[in-house]
Amino acid sequence: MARIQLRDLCGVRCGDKGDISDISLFADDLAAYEAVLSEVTPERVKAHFGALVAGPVERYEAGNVLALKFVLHQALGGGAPRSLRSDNLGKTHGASLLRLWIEVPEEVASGARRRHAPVSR
Amino acid sequence: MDEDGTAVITKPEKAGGMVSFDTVREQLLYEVHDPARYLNPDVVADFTSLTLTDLGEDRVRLSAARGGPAPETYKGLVCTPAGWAGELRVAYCWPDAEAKARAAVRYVRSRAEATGLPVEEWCEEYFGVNAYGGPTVDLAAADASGWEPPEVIARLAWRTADPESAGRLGREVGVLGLSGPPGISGTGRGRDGRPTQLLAVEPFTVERALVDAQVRVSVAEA
Repeated sequence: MARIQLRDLCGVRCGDKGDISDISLFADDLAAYEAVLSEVTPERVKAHFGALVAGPVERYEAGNVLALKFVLHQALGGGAPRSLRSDNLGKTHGASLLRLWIEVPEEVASGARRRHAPVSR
Repeated sequence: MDEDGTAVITKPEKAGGMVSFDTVREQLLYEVHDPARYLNPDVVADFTSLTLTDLGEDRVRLSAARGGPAPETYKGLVCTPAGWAGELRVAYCWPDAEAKARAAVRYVRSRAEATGLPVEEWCEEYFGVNAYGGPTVDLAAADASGWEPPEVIARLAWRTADPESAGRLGREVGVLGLSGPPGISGTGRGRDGRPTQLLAVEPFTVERALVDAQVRVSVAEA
């Protein structure tokens, strides 16, 4: 097994509905999807976000598009127009999820193809 | 959309952007919660049933989508007043930027307590540390690496029941500039994105005999 940060393995897209943060996590192939399916559990996501998410975390599977959906309740400080947070829409929650480190089979880690953007200064 | 329910997602040839398996699946699941039961006014869509086929050249075929009967209910939204917010942002430079930013925030919060301000909720954020990521940021690893941020912006927001209370605390902040932690700085000229006028300044001297010295004081508070 190999340790890998989700950032290197998956894509992500997130949005909000009321006080709910809604995150889609996208794998690039079936092996990666099966790896995140067993590793990125709702319990782990709940623990990962700590005090940012006051309510429960639900997970849904969309294996047809190699995606997992996470629905984070009480996750935005009361919802966009009520929240005191600067990220009142949870637009950074997807990136925060990508910080998670997981254990995956060696071939999944070596096949990871998410790029780091080069910085030009 | 064809009669059999398949469709090809694409875009005008000369428009920018990209239509691919990745871009279509992102949009497909955007903010839908349970992808097997996406509630629409006319159908409960099951997005886990369909097949996306990337045909290349910005064309993706969507097929085999299923749905159930329309929900019995429509969705509505109601907004009710939930208090007033005030906030401050203050930046500190290296060294010890985070420690100084936290000290400044502690000071402002202590002034609220000392003056009996009825704050119902606080929100502390430290840009350059973990303002967005919160507990997902491994600060222990950052500390162990010896990395110190070159600057940190503290943001403190608070909620009160009335606008007067929310505004009052903002006036406790000025003292930070002269009596707070060193290395304080601004966070830029921006004010709601509106243009701000710039002024050039030139020092000069004037003969004493030409100046009739007097002092007038006027105070106005917004």
